[in-house]
This record gives sequence, C-alpha cells and structure tokens, in this order.
Amino acid sequence: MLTVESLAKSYEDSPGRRSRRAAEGTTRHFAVDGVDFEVHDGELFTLLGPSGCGKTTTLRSIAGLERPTKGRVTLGGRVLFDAGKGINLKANSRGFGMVFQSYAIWPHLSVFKNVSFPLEVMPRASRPGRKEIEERVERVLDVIELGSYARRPATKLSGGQQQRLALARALVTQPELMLLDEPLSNLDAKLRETMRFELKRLQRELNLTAIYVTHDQSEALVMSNRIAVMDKGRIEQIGKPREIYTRPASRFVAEFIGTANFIEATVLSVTGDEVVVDCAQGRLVARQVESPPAVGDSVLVSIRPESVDISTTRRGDVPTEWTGTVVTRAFMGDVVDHIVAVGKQEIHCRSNPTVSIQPGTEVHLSVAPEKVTLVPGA
Amino acid sequence: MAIAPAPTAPRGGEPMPDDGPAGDGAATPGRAVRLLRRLLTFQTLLVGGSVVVVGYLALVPLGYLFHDTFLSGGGFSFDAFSRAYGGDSQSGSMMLNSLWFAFGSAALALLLGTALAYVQVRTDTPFKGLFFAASLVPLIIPGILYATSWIFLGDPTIGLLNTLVFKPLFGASPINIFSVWGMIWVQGLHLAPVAFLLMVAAFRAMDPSLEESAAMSGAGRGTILWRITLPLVRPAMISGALLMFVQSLESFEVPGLLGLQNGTYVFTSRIYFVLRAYPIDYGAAGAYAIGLLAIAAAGVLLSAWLQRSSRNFQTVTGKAFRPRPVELGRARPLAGAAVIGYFLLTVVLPIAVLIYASLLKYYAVPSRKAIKTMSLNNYREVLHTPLAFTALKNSLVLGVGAATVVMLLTAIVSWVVLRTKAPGRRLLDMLAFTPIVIPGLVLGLALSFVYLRSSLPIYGTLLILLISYCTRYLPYGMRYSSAAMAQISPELEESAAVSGASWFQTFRRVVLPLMSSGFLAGWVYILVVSFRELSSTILLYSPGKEVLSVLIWEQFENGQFTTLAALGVCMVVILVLLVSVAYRLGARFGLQGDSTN
Amino acid sequence: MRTTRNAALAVSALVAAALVTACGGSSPGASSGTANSAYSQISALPKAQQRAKAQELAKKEGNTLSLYTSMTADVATPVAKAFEKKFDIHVSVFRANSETVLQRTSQEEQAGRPGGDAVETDFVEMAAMAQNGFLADYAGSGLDKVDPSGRFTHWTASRFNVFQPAWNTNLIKPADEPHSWEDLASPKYKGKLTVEISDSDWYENLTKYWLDHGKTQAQVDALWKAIIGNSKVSKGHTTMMQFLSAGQSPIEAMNYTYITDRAEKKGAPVTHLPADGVSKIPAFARPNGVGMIKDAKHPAAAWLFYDWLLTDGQQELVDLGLTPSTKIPGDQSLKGTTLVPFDVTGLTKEGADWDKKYDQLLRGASAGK
Repeated sequence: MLTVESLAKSYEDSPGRRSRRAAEGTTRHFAVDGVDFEVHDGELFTLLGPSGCGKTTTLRSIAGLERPTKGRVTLGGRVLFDAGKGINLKANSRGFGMVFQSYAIWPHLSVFKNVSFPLEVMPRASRPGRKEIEERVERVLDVIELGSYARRPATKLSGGQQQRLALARALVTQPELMLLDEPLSNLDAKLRETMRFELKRLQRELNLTAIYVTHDQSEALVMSNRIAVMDKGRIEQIGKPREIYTRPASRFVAEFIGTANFIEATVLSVTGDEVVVDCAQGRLVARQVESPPAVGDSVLVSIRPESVDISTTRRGDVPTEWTGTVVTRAFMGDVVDHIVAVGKQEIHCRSNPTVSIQPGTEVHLSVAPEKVTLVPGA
Repeated sequence: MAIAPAPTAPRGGEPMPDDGPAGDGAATPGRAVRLLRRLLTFQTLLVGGSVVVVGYLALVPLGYLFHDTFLSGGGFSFDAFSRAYGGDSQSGSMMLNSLWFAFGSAALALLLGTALAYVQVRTDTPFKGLFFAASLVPLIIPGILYATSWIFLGDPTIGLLNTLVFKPLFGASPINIFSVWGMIWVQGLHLAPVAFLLMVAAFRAMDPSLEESAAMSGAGRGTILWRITLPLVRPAMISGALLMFVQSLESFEVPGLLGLQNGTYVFTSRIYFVLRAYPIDYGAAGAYAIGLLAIAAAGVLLSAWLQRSSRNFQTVTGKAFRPRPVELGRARPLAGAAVIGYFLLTVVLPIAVLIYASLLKYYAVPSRKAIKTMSLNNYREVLHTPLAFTALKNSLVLGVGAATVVMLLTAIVSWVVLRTKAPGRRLLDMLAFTPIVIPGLVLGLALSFVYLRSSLPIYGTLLILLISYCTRYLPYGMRYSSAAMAQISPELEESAAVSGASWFQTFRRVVLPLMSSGFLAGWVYILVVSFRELSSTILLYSPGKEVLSVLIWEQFENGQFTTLAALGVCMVVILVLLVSVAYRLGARFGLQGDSTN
Repeated sequence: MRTTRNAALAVSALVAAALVTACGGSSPGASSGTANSAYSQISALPKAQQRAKAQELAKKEGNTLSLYTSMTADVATPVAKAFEKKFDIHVSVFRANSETVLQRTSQEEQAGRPGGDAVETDFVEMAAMAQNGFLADYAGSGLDKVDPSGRFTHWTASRFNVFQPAWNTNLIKPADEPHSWEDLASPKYKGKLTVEISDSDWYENLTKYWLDHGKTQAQVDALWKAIIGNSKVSKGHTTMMQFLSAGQSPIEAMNYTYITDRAEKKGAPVTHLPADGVSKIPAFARPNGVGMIKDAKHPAAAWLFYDWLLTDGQQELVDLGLTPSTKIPGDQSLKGTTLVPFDVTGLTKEGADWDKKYDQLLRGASAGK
C-alpha cells in the first residue's frame, strides 16, 4: 500500500551558515540514510529503534512534515514524494491521520472541536454537513470512550484522555494510513500497558493501516504486524515480531530487542541445517534454517535467557550441555533469573519461578539447537 | 538588585489621604512577630520585595497625580475635570480623534508586527537577517526624527516619494502624510517593533506540533494560521495591542508634527496645552491623565476578559521540540519581496533621509546645488559635542540598568500575578500598568517632589533617572514578562519543585530560562527606548549627568536638524551594535538552555 | 498560599513606605541665610567695589556656579565658557525649555533645596519666579546701561527675541512679501501660512497693538480669523524654520528673527526682511531675563554672572547673533526692523487667559471670546 524507496534526509550541521560550511567541505549528517520498506494494507507497521535512529524523521517524511533529501514515497498508485521529479505533496493533502508524541491537543478548543476540526477543514466538495460532522465526531468519541467529555475544554482532560483524544482526532476522517509517533511514551507504565491493547484492538477492529514509531521494544513486539528495526538512519532488519526476536539479523537487533547472551564462536561443521560451532565454553549445536554459514566463519551466538535450560542434574540427552556455578539469583515475580558463570563468561538464564537454585551451586545449562541464533559477521 | 525600596523608617510624616489599599497598620505585636518570622525566607523577601518595589514605583506618580487632581483646590473636588473637559475644550471630538488614531496605529502595528514575526520565526523566508534591523531601527530613531523623516518623504509638495517617485512616474502626488492615515502610518510603523518583539517571543515559545497536527488534519496553511496559530498567540497579541493602543493615545510626537498641520487635534494636545501654560493647571493635567488612565484600565480589564479562556493556553510544555520552519515553496519569493518591502519602508527610507540630511547644512530637496554642499561636518560636530561621551556612557548605564531591573522585577511580579492566588494580584497588574498614562513631565514632577524631600542622595544623581525610567517602562516590562509567563505551563515549575528545587532555584533555573525569549525582547525594547526618553529626563537630569536624549533635544532646539540627523545615525549604529551583542550573548545562553533539554 | 498572603501584606507595606517618603520631613533650606548675607555684603558696598567683593566671596564659595537656562546649547555653551574664562569660575549648566526651568526651580525652592544659583530664561517664567519670591535683588552697575523698560522687579532683561514673519525666498517672490501684519490676512496667502501652537504672546501683543492703533475689536477679530484661516498649525519655532528652509511651507506668520537669521546665515533660502532690506512690520521684542536665586548655594557667583551678562556678556550675545538688552556697537540684529514696545504687564497678568483664547482661536472653537 505505502512504499518507501531509498528515502534519505540530511541536515546541515548548523542551518544558516550553509555557505561557510560548504566552503569548508564539512560532511553532511544523515538522519535517514536510504530507507526502503513497504506497508501492507491493514497492518500495523512499526519503526523501532533508539532515539536518534531516524525513525521519527522517516515518519515525518512520510507525513509530509519534513522534506526528504532523496527517495520516493508512494501510496497505492499515488506519488507523495519523489525527489527526482521534484514532487512533494503537502502534508495537508496526503490525507493521513497522525498522533503526536506530545498529543498536540489544541488548548483553545473543546474536546468536540478538537475532533471536528479535521472534518471542518476538508475540501468543500467532500466536506460533510454540520449534522454529519456532529454524528461522526460523537461516534468516534464514543469509540474511544470520551463521549461524555465532548463539551469540556481539551486541557481539562487527563494525560490518558488527551492521548485518546489525539487518536480520535486522527481517526475521525477515516484516513487510509495512520501515523503514530510514540503515542504512548508520555503515559505512566500502567496506562501504557492498557493503551497498547486498546490501540491494537482499535487497529484490528477498524482494519487500520498504521505506521507506529516507538523506542520501546516490548511495545513493538506486542502491537506490530511487522517491525523495522532502525539504527543510525538505516533499517537493520524488517520482519514479524517473532522473527525479529528469535532470529535477529545483527548484533544490534539482538541487543536492542530484549536481552540476550552473546558468545563469540567459530563454525566447526555444517550438516544440512545443523551447524556446530566452537566457543570458549565448548561445543554448541545450532539449527540454522536460513543462510547457513561456511565452515571456519566466525559468528556471534545469541541465546535468549529464557531459552537456557538450568538444572542441578546433568540431562545428557541434549547436544549441548555446559557446567557452571550460579553467581546470583533474582526473583522477579513471574520469572526468576540466574546468572551462571561458565568459564569466564556469565550466562543469563530465565526460568519458571518454581526453579530456584542457591548461588554457589553447580548447575548444568542446555540450549535446544533451534533456540540458538547465529548472527553472522561477529 | 539596584533599587532598594524606599526608606521605611517613619520620620514623623502625616499619612496622606490615599487611594491605595489601606495599610495593615493594625497588626498586633505578637502577630507581627510571627509574620516577620514567616516573611524572613528568601522567597518571600524576593517576591515581597519585588512587589513592594513595583507598587512603590507605580504609586508615587499615581499618588501625586491623584493628589493634584482631586485635592489641589484645598479640599476634595472634581473641579479639575470640569476645567479639563468642560467649556470650549472640544475634549469629546479630540477624544474620538485620539481613539481613532490610537486604534488605527495599534491595529496597523499589530498586523505588521505579527505578520513579520510569523514569517521570521515560522517560515523559511529569505533575508531573515533584515528582520533584526527592521525590528530595531524604528525603535531607536527618536520619534521626532522618525516623524520628520516621514514629512520629508510624504509631504504633498516636497515629499521625496511624491517628487521623485510618483510625480515622474504617474504625474500625481498622491501621498499626503498630513492626514489621519499618514499619522496612523507613521505611528504604526514606529510601533510595529513592539508587536514584532512580543510576537517573536510568543511564536518561538509555541510547540510547533500544534500546527503540524492541524496540517495532518488536512488544514491548509491559511486555515492553520487563522484557526490554530493566531488563537494560540492571542494572549501576546492582546498584550501588544493594549500596550500600543495606550502608547498611541498618550504620544504627542506624531500628532504634534503631523496632526496639527492637518487640524487633527488629539487628546494629548490638550495635555500639551495645559502643561506648557503658566501657571500650570496641574489639576487639569491630572484630570486628562486620569481620563487616559480610565481608558487604559478599561483596556486592561478588557484584555483580561479576552484572555479569560486562555488561562490554559500554555503552549510551552515540557516536551522538547525543534521548531521547524514552514516551507513557503512557491510563496517564498513573495515573502522575500514583502520582507524587502517592509525593510525599505521602515528602515531604508527614513534612514536614507536621515543620512542625506546629515550631510547637508540645512535640509533641502535633493538638487545639484544641495548635493554640492554635502560634507561630513555634522558628524564632526556630533563628535565634538561637549559631553557626547559622558552622555553616551550615562545613557548606556541607565538603559542597561533600567532594562535589567525592570525585566527582573516584572518577571517576579508577573509570576505573582499569574501563578499565585494572591488577593490584589489584579490590582497589582493594573498598578504596574498605570505609569504608561502618566505624562513624562508629571512623572518628573512627582519624582522630584518625593526625592527633594528624601534625605537619601537620589535627587541630582543618575539614580533618579534610573527610577524614572524603571517607572516609565514598568508597563512594557510587565506586558513582555506576563506574555512570556502565560505561555509556560505551570507543570514545569511543579515538576521542578517536586524534584526538590527551592522556589528560587525553580524560578532561576526553570522559569527564567523558559521565558528567556520574552525576557530578552523586553530587555532590548527597554534598553532602546530609554535612550530616547526625554519628557521626564529633561526635568530630572543634572548638569554633568546629561544623557543622549538631552543632547538630541538640544540639537533639536538649536534648530540643527541636520546635526540631529547625524546624531540619530550615530545612535542607530551604536544601538544596533549593542543589541546584536546582547542577542549574541542571549543566543549563547539560549544554546546552553537547549542542550540541557 | 503563603506567598499570596505575604504579597498582600507587602503591598500594604509599600503604600506606607511611599507615604513616608512623600510626606516625610522636609528640611527648609539651610543656605538661605548665607546667601542673603553674601548678597547684602555685596550690595552694601559702593557700585565700583561690588565686583571685587563678589569675586572674593565667590572664591570662598569654591568658584563654581550653577546656571539654569533656556538658552539653546549653541548659545549657552559659549556664554558659559566666556564667563569661566573671565572669572575662573566653573559653570555647570542645566538647559531645558523655559517651562521646565521654572518647574525645576519651583520644585527645588518649595523643597528648600535650591540647585541653581542664577537663572536666565523667558520673561513669563522670570516674572513667575519673581512673583513667587525665588529671586534676590541685584542693584549693581550692570543695570545702568539697560533701558528702564528692561528693568523688572527682581530681574533684568538680558536679551530680546524679536517677533517677525519669515518666508522662504524661493517660494515668495519680492512682489508677494508681506509688508504688515494685516497682510497675513490677505487671501493670497491662503494655505501658505504656518502659525505656532503656543504663540499666544504674539497674539496678545498684536491684538493690543491693533486695538491701540485705531482698530475695533470686530476688525481685529476678523483679521485673526482670516490669518488663522490662511494657516496650518505647527509646533516649535525651530522645527518650523526647518520646514520653511526645506520649502515645506512658504511663510511663517511669526518666528524669532534670530532663528531666521541663523538659518539664513547657513545658506537656507529664508528671511524676515523684504527685498529692500527694511521691514515696516512692527517688531515686538520679547525680553529674556537674568535673575539670582534667593537662597543660592553660590550667591556671589550668581551675582557675578548677573553683573557680567548685563555688561561684558552683552558683547558675547551680540557675537552669537542675539539681540542684547543694552546698546552694543556692532549689533546688527535689529537692522531693518521697526521695534515697538512689548506688552509685559498684560501678559504677566492675563497670560493664562490669552493662552486659552489663542488655543481656541486655533482650534476654531468660539473664536475671540
């Protein structure tokens, strides 16, 4: 539906001193450096990355709030932006809905007026009548459960309510595409969790297509149909949440999404999809489905803590089993974490809270081959 | 703080019947001690001190004014009002003329100032550098010179615009500066920087996502401007409009030079008439000032009423934002042309006339003969004016001092007015606004009356001028500060307080930096206009303590318009340099502030 | 909430503070006694010895003088310099327009803290100061050369401002020059005249002159109506001269001759004399005067200045192109003018009434009431 092709946005380091800078030949700083992706109909597509990775700039470029330096953005057959052809559709004619991080609720308008604004400013030809505007605003306010607040000044709402109001405003025109710029980041933890599901529910029920920007990996994993992980202006990996989590394409992705144990290793043998690697702790068997490495390659082994099986007794029936000593133990309610020293490396294990082993105890660790991820080019 | 409140030790003076709130003299000793203890925290001392100083500055001339108006005949009476407004004074029609002139000038200035500020802050217009000069130069040029320049430009017979532009091109002289429209034009251009400075601060402080979200809602640029941007900066616009309206009501430079020729008498020509006659009818002068005061008070109330719903307009929220200019696209050359046009009208034309005049022996319409007599003699004369450097130094000290003191005081007092529920805060706000209507001469008389009777060594020193300037510019500082303060969300202070910052730390490290663009704008405004203050200065300065405005007045009295023009050009150069240094410093502080966000 | 209360209290406190300062004890001037004694010490001596005594006393005072004057800077500065040179007395000059000089002196006198020693300003203000008892009497030899009409109670005329019309010679050809005040009422000057907003003294003098020379009140009123009907109103004589030089207006109904002369000397195309060099228009010469402050801090220096301005100082004024109050050889300032007496008494007594009448005349509000 929406296609972004080799999008790039560069900034002069200090605007206004262009001539002098150009003369000195300073390098330009690329906030977005060649980004390609496609958003499918009805999906919630997430741009995930740390702050400064270019995700917001990408979103704003799609919105039309920022003029990219290079690239092409098309929606269906419609070209929104094409640097080569000099096409740049204005933000207000792209027809997207957008929720800002700061909500950008207009303080001088009532709740109702905030929501009715997008309808009132529609082109005269397609602008609904007064009656219809009223109905549509009320309907959308009901959907987000602000119906009874319609006449209040917008500033009298709580943070969560303002967030929903911003959502209502973006939804009211039933846009083809919703752009959400860290919409939950200003809410407290509890509210954020509720709103995640609320948003997801709305998106599914209304069959919205949305681009969602966040730096919160768990938010991204819970809500998204697909995730693009960004770093330094580039996309590191695009995939379904599970893929991203279980099969990170790079160390950055693996590190950014959840916690992981990283072990450096060398490939010993490749048999079918079974890869045997050698590392400081001993041999390790991995089942690598896509692009198996060659023998002799150095790789980075990534193992999620919850994939590590911890036991006081040796199992013997698994291809990989290491012995180590529990260093610390942390009870976290729904899970319990053990840090186990294996040789010089500490391995982070997460298990069911029924497992609890005294620090100092000798334990045996095992990992199922399909839970071992090999990240190339360590 | 440079100004200490007046000595509080009673010296046996009888209390004067007064119009202000009654003193709390009846406090019992025990209560007083408890109160004293509570008062002795740093916050209360600072806040209380500022409130006292502001109240004191405003009340002294006001008390003098009321005393003269109502009590000058020996007992309380309204005689002064019938003398001022009755008989053949034509005060009704003059009042209408004044209101029309003030309204037109304020509207023009607000329109120009707001449009320019928007273009400057929120768009990628070319020639941004010109705004700096366009916002300053009309402020710096003394009103007399500015109006005179426009006479030389827009006179129907000798005006350069008519003789050099319209006559040769169109065969007609359509411009007549001696009309109500001419008066509005000159006054409006002269005032536009006030609106510009205020609005720049307001636009800077506004979260751009409020506009972006409107764009995302499908609104076009015009709709956004009309329905989102302007309503959001309404508090600053109202502040500015009020300030400029009252200032136009009270000014006599433009009506005196342009209006009289055209038979347009305004209200202030009454005050002028009364104040130059002998014996001065102080009662009548006071009655006029009180008439203006009533209008100004109505204006303050009206603006409070208009802003009643904007209590929650705080657009400076805790969220960090990087203001992104609106891309003008195809309109960019148009905006560029408008900027250049404005720059030509407000800066280049009047300054060109001044420079041209400054090279002549006497002003004459450009001709071969006139050009032959050109020389730099007038500049030589300016440099050799005895006291030129003393005057410059004194003006600098006073300008910087008054600007700093007023802005610090009003920052604190506007905090009291907007953030606390203190009883009487409205009164305080209005009180701080009153000096704007007090004629400079009356202010001078009030101050000399008070300080001639005070044992403190204030009369005859620069300090009395500082007090006078602080009083005169208090209303301006107050508008700039409260416009800036109104935009800051109180949550930001609350969060600082919650993080354990003391009130003072919060104020110094959160509030002041957040209002810094408004603060700087007010500071620059006061610095610049204090260089031209004359009406109270002329009575209060002492030999050896001359300031630049006195020198300018002297040149004017000497009839040396050409020398005066040279002095005006020098002043523009000096102040532009000075203010650019101030902006540089301000920008440095601003940058530090940004990086900590 | 605490701040709120305190703020309110603070407001009350400041009112009290303001009142105390405003009405607090005013200390009467301590120096009046010494000043009086200096003045009487000088005047007790024979005229020939007075100046020497004054110089001796001035030395004791510290050889300084504070002068309050409405002389423009280009006059005041050379005058002060010449005086300094002669007596080695440092002069500090407070310059302002005449009303302000009076304001300041009154304020200081009422508070008992005189700042000026000598004053030099317009006759209305001098008369007011004399009337209010701010001035001490001078009886030195400086008076001898001054015409009796220039000697007033407590002050003496030091120079004159002469009232004449002025015109731009590029715009008014010799054939169109005015030859009498009455000419200004002629329809040929319709829209060409400028009058100054505060020239009520001219209005009074000319009205009295006309009445004294056989015109009826109705005729005079009609003349004034016609003159004002021909005129635009402007503010400030020097500003007007600027515009006259620039050709913005062709004729000024009245300006001071020294202002016109000075502009002419600079090369501006202006004059107050017709082409034949002799004006028959009655010239009113308004006196400016000098006085000594009664309780001055430096009375002897004030006496010296008074004395000097009426004697040696007169030459200085002539050199500056002003009209002196005594006969000075080489004085060209009255050349070609026809002087007539200036009505001092009428203006002193009824000045405010004439102000009002003139104001009403200009505004067209019930003219000539």
